[in-house]
Amino acid sequence: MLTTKIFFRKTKGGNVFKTVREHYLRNDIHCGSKACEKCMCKTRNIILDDEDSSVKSSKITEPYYLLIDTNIILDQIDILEEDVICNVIIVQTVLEEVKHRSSMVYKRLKNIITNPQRKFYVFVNEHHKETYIERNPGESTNDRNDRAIRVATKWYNAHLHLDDNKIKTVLLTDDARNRELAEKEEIPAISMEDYILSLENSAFLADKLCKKNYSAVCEGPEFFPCHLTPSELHDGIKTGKLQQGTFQASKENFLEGFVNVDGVEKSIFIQGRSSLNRAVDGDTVAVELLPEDQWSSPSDIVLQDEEETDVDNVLEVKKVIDKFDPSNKMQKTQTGKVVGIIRRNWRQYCGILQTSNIETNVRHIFVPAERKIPKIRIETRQYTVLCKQRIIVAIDSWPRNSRYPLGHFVRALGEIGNKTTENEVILLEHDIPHSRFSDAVLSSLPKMPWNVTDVDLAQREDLRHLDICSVDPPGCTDIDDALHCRDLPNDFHLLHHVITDLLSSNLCSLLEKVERLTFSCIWEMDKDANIINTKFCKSIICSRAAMTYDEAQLKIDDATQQDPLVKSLRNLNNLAKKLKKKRLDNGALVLASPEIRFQVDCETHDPIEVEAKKLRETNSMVEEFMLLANISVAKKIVEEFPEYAVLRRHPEPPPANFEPLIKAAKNQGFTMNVNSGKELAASLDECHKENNPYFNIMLRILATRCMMQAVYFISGMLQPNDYYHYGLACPIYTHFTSPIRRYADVMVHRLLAVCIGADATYPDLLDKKKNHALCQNMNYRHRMAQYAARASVALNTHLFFREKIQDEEGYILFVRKNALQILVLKYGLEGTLYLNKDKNSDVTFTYNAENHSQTCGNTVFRTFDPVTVQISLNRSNVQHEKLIFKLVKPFIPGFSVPAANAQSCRITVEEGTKETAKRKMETEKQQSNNAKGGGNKKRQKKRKH
Amino acid sequence: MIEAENIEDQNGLRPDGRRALELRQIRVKMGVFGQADGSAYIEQGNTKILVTVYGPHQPRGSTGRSTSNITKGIVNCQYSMAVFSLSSGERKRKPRGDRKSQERSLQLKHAMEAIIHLEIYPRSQIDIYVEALQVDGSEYCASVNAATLALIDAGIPIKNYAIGCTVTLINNPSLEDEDNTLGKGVLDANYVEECTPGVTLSVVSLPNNDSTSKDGLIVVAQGAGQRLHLSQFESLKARVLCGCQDIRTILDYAVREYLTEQSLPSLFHVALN
Amino acid sequence: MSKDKDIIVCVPGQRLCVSDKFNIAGPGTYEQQGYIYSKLAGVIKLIQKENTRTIEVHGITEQSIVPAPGDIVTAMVTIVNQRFCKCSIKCIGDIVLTRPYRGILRKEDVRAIDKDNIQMYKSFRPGDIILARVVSFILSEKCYVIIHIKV
Repeated sequence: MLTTKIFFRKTKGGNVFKTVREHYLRNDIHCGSKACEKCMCKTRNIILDDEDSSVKSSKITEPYYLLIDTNIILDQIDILEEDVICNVIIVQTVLEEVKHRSSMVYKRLKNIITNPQRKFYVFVNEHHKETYIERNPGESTNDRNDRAIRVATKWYNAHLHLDDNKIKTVLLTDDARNRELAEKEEIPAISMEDYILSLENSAFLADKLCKKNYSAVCEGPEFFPCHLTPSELHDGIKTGKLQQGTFQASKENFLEGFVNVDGVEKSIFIQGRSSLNRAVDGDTVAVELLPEDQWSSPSDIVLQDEEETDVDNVLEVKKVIDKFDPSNKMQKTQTGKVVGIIRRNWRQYCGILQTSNIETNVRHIFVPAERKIPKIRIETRQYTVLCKQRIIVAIDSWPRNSRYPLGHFVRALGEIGNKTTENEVILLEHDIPHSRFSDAVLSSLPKMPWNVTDVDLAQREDLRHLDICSVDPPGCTDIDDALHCRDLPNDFHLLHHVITDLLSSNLCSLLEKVERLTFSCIWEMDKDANIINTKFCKSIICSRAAMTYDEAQLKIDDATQQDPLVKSLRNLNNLAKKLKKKRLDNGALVLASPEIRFQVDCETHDPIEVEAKKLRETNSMVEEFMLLANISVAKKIVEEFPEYAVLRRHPEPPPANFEPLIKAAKNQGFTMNVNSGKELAASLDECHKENNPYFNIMLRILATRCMMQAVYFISGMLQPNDYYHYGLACPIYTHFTSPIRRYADVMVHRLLAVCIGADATYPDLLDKKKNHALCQNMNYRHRMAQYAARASVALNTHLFFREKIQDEEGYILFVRKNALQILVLKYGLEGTLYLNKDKNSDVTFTYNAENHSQTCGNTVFRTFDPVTVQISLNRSNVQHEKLIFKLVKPFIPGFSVPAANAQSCRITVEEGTKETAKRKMETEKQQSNNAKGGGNKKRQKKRKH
Repeated sequence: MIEAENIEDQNGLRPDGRRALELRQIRVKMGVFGQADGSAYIEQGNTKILVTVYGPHQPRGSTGRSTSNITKGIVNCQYSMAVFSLSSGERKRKPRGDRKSQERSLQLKHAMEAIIHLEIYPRSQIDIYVEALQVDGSEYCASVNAATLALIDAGIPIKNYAIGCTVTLINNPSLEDEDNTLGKGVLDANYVEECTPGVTLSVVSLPNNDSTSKDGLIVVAQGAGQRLHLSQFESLKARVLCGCQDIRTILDYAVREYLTEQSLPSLFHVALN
Repeated sequence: MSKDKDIIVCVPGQRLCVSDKFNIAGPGTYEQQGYIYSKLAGVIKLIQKENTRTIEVHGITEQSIVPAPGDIVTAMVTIVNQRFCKCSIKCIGDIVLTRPYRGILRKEDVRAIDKDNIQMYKSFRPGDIILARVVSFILSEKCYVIIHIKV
């Protein structure tokens, strides 16, 4: 059963270590073909069909299997994802190369392989006695791998022909040399392009062909300097001449960007097309610093590649930059130029086709929705269909003689402006996975109807007799926590925090009067809310009531109600107040951020009203106990797993971050003390202005912006005093209370379950490195979900303002050089009012950088000044609809606009609503259901600690 | 170091091409060392262990004096790793005396005390010196196996073979679906597999010599890596005992082979299989 | 395996037969739960008597014998002083040891009578070969005590 031919594989590590590993070759690896009678294999391993089910190709007459080379997978994964391509053999050599080269593509390939319909078979050629080859002396690894692929193809052909099968195995490769060698050895080989074009109905596939070799066709002047070779880059980085970092394109200016070098605080500024040298946002690049006299600084202007004419605008832009340069002599920053790309971070991009005059032309320009990404040149024969659609495009290459990178069409999302499409764009652009769960995942859900079993009863504490209730926002579908409180005889309180444990929206929710499996956190407290005892257990509960915040508030306030549930709520509320006071005394911050909530028309799902959110006492009641639960759990898991606990920390912001806040407050005559969280909280509490009721809130909004991002981390990665959560002012914190919508909570649940001996560990749970990677991913997903949430709010706000022009009161949040940042509190909406935009106008604003003010005539704009603005929607750019703010009050002749007629406006609103009603729109809620990463955004924001 | 990602799905094969239940190639030489009373050399894949046994002889040094028990013999084990033994290429600073070696020595002693008929050697000492020449995972288990062989070579009466085998619980479901009746985990892990997250259980057992029954007496079990939930222990145990049984069969064959060629050639006309 | 010549190779831990009135466990074997097992790798020897059969296993290297009280040993005198002489044990019975054991012959053990008048220097010289019987082991010393028997 085992061919134990041992040989040694030597790999040289970074230094001169020699690794010797065993490598067993076997004779029991099967070919995976149904037609084969020699290989003794289990049925589940038969993947390749014996009939001629592959798509017909004019070039290959016999039935065939495809054996794919690495370059095909790396470049043409979009085509491979098409269902027409099947009966494919992936040899292990290729799989490993792919994994090594691109984890993204590897993941996608894995997805294809696991789909049985696609008939992709992985042949472990490296362990097969007959297909394993050793590297010849002088042969490069690449050549060896190519040879291994050819040997495998040869073996397949020989192997299958023994059985009088007609099946031919064709090597599919874009590597001309490999193809040549294959033909010499009489192995059938074909290139991807030839293959695709030889298929029936190949037009739609041809669009997706990767244009790697396109550069040969496109001749012309070279726009960019050469990239250095990898070895030059390597040497340059080693000697310190070059620096390696991640390139980040500027959002505002497409000809600027920064390179963040690892471990160096100050990033390197890159300016100009040839300095950027084809770097795309996210790429890992090598930078060379320019001599100091060529240093420059980011221009304060917003520059977009919106002028569609190609050639001239570069010069124009250059001029603009030049014009702004001299004024910034003061703050020159280190500037460099990109000399090479170490690793591309290309993904697929959403966007639209740029309108083209010649519709029959196959070459078109694609404009990505993300401003940081350059336009992409693609080839498509379906312009007439695609020009009205949002499409996805992937970049293939960026030759020196092309202004734009070359790419290929991947798929169409739908009509531009359609809400479903736009929602999908948001999800895609923020890298939020939103495909359906696979059947394998779904099948592991418990069967409905679901009941508590005896096994559960035996393993869990039965708490069904307790009067437990949940308090959540109205319309909340994922109720994942419930509370209970009761007096103990000796004057102690017993408190409950309960969280579900099963997955799926229905099962997980602690619905009213339904038995659910839960994870309980039980505290014994004294009257002053000091914890005497904490206990965790798995349990079964039955919620008595699922209340909204309002309902709970009413019950608490209504003195006539005296049933146990209400008593429990009142006790909870009292304790929560004490807890909150303690927390605030400790220096926890109360921060604010404008939050929008849409009143959604229940039939059309169109937003009819936008409002900022309100908070009630019960909100804070629930919040307090959640915080308490999180803190208790954090302590417990760290105690048990000092190395592996998943925690959340909120680093203290560096003092420099507070500068805008201090300045803004100073302008209004207040001093901010930011030495510690406690002092900051105290200073914030003191800031009140008689004439401006929102002043305090706005200061808090500003303070929020000074904060660092709270992040997940693994306890073993940091020193215990770095665990500190600044915002909450507690030394240790984690996320435990929302396992339905946050993965971190699930991890914490698992850890806690192990702590209390309820569950088994599994190797990955206690792997520091893997957990660390998971945390990084959670942080990334969390960030992206937040961005997506913002984008979603923007989308819905835009939809709301589509047919409206409205005047609203607002406040200046920031004064910028050429604009005012305005917050409209009614909608929690923030927008930019551009000043000095019209160069021909004689109204000029003077910017004072000292105290952040803009002056025009007698009118001075300072931070926090109230203004009235007119809001309308600019739909001229279909990809980026923008809210336009125009000044109404204070009135500046020649700049301000007259107030909109409220009456007529309202009429248009109503009509508009009815009109748009027909177009279906995803509500925010629905969308958040889609966005798994995003979870329920409404609630997530509120409890964002 | 070796990246944990090295373990991946290759149609149910482990990184080195074995299946979950397969052992590495075991090669055995007995009586390699004329000077000692008994010696054995074993290779389990790239793990290479040399064991020499001296004794029984009069106790010397501190071991003899401190032990007041004169009715039983004393087993003295010394486990040491050669400075060049690490497969990663680094040098080991101290060949013996570090915590790991001391622990290994102690556990080896426990295992050996369990099989040697110590009551027939009152007031005497048996020295077992283990030298790990090359280390590629499962070295403790390999040294138990080698020590057993060396004892046999020395002619010291033992109750049974003490057989060591490791089982590693890895997070790779594709390896597991092969044969779940024998529990979970992969047998005889090499260094790469030992480095992966997950628990590695080194078990020394005295397998029954009729190969039909899969149970045996576990003498020493030692875990490395993460903590292991008790519920998984049974299935790991089932599998590791099956591994021990296999190793025993191999060693048994080797011993018989050695006997035929070594001793009393005149008496053995019959070829043994 | 061949039965006709009664040459059976066995390995440690191998179950040889049921232990009963007829089969008796001999040297190189042990009894456990009603069975006789081998504890050596070697050849099985059956010693037939009237009603019984003793099963013995003989290893390939005949050694590993430790002097026990009562054993007659052959020893060589190494050091002599007033009260005792040290010697190294070469043989136990008729088995030659591969490695010597150390022994002490105390003055009072040299002979049974007239113990007070023994002069060690006159009785022994280094290099003498003596035949002795092992008397006992002494705690906290490294030697076996032997009693001297005049040949």
